[in-house]
Amino acid sequence: MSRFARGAAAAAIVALALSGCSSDTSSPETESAGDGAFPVSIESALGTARIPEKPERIVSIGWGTPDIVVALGETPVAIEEDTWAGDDEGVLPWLREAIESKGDAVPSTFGVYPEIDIDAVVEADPDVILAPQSGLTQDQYDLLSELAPTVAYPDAAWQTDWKTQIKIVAQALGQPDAAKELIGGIDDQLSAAADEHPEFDGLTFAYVYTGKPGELSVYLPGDPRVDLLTALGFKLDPAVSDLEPAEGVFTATIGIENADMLNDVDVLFTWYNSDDEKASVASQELWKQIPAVESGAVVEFISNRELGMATSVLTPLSVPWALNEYLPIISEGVAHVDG
Amino acid sequence: MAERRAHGSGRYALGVAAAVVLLGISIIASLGVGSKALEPGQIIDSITGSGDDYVDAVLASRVPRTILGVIVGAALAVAGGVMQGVTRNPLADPGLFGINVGAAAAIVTGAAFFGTVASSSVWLALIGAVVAVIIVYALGSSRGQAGTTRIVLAGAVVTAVFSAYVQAISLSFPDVFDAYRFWVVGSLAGRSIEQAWLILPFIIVGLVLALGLAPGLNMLALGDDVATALGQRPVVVRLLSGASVAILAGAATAGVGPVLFVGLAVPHIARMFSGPDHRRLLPLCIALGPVLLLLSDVLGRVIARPDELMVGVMTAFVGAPALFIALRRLRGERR
Repeated sequence: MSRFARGAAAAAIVALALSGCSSDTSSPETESAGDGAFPVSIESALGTARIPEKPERIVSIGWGTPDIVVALGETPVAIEEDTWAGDDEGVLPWLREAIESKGDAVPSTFGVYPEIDIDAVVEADPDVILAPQSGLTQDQYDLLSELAPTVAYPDAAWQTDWKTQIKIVAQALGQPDAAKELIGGIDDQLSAAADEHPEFDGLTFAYVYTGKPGELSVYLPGDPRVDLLTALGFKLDPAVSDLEPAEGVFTATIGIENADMLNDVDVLFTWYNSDDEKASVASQELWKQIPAVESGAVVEFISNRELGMATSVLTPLSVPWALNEYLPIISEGVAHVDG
Repeated sequence: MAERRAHGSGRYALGVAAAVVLLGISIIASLGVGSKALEPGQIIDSITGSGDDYVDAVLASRVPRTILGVIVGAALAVAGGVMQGVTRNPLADPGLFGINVGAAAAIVTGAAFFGTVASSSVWLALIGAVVAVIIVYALGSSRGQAGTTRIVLAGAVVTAVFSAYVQAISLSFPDVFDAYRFWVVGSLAGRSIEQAWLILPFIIVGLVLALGLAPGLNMLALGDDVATALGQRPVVVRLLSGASVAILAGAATAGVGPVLFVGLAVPHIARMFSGPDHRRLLPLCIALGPVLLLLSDVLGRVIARPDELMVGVMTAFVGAPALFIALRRLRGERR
């Protein structure tokens, strides 16, 4: 590869990064793999990461990123633990299966709440820290950047759509062309599933949860939960799709008194932390009278947290792992849709 | 207290009348105003039974939060009044005795080690509140003499230790943390009417106890030596006061989560009309506590439509101006 071509490739990558990797950007022609892709600079809302050469020791923070790293043929050395749905070590099952079947060591895990376990990150000795779908603060970003080039989200915390996330990770690992393939693979799986279930087509849905008593939070377009269902043929109910997301989350919150916003929803998706939480939500008359709740057209996650998590991200590993289990549960909810 | 005659009966009567009117207005506002905007016509239709089903459901959902607002507001205000009297510290509130964190510590302990669920938390919260009060009182008193400064320090220590404990447990047991997070917000919304009936008996007991202690609290204000000479037993008054505050604040916290500021601000506002006599102050707190809590809640429902802000966030915002005026008057009187 000539020096000119290398420079052009790097420039093209920077251009792609500058464009915020929007999903309509076609990937530029570059050499995939090899060090031709490096050095690479990736801009994020919190700063620019300059990755000088192919990273060997990858650390990830946030959701879904380790899956993409593994799908690209690498294995992270340390990842954020998942205390909600992960196993004893905080590792999600589809990630563990994929890494163990490759014969690699499962990455160590570290906590990020209430603050990032910086000692664990230092110990992992990262070449790059990937956090494109996370809640990193500017202070955390600055601290992590002292340790290694850190790639944060392009726009706002927790508001990176799945295609953009895959493109960013692929770029950071020097495989920008591989992103197209991974995205295409997921798209194909989802459209095949949609074809198998024509009954989903055109049904309206809302995906909600109750974060505090008397509230309803509604997931918005761009959240993986919503995008997954949209790809399966459902349509996000127009009454909720125009709500404005709150800071640092991909949801809008309404008081339960506005539950009539959900009057036209065919299927309602939701999750609870526990049966106890479900009982307190379900005891509210305003919840009970939501038409989808009345008819039983509800898809909910309580004890099946692994599946709940697998359907809250959209990655090359989570989609095949989740679909077989998810589709029948959705069908069950859809069977209760009135008329 | 002859020099304080400025607080005549006329002024107190005015205060009581105003409080009762305000309480009525607050209750009507709490039933009529919410994150879902309703026309007066819709509400009247609903009351006369010819309303839309959804409007009926919205109005019905405002009943439990209004009832909770009344009983919890009264409980917190009286608990604050008793605290300020017993510690002779005008800035005292139930939080000073570590009551909120005591209740929280009991809840996370139950959830982590005994698998209890949040809905059975009333008893746990009460036990935690009582334990906190006992520890603070034991640390803050020597030979039965409870010094105000020592009590404040003991309260700060207990609060810090319990808070650290709650955080440690929450981090070690993520599931507990999820349940705790749901419980630990001060909110009148989304609570059931059963919750109100569950805590009501405790609050009635606490209120009766507090009202009965009013003469004793008046004596304490004169200093322990004078009170003893007048035949009072300061230690007994303090212990019973601690019990009433623990019951009131513990039950309130169990009912709606931690709500600050009501216990601090309402007694000062009430004192503008009642003067320092606890026999007048505490009944006025019973009427004014719900006013502050309900008006804060109503404002929280409309300020961020279609979302709501929790009452625990709103109380300081609504009560601060009134407290400011009351404290300025207090300083004026001290000169």
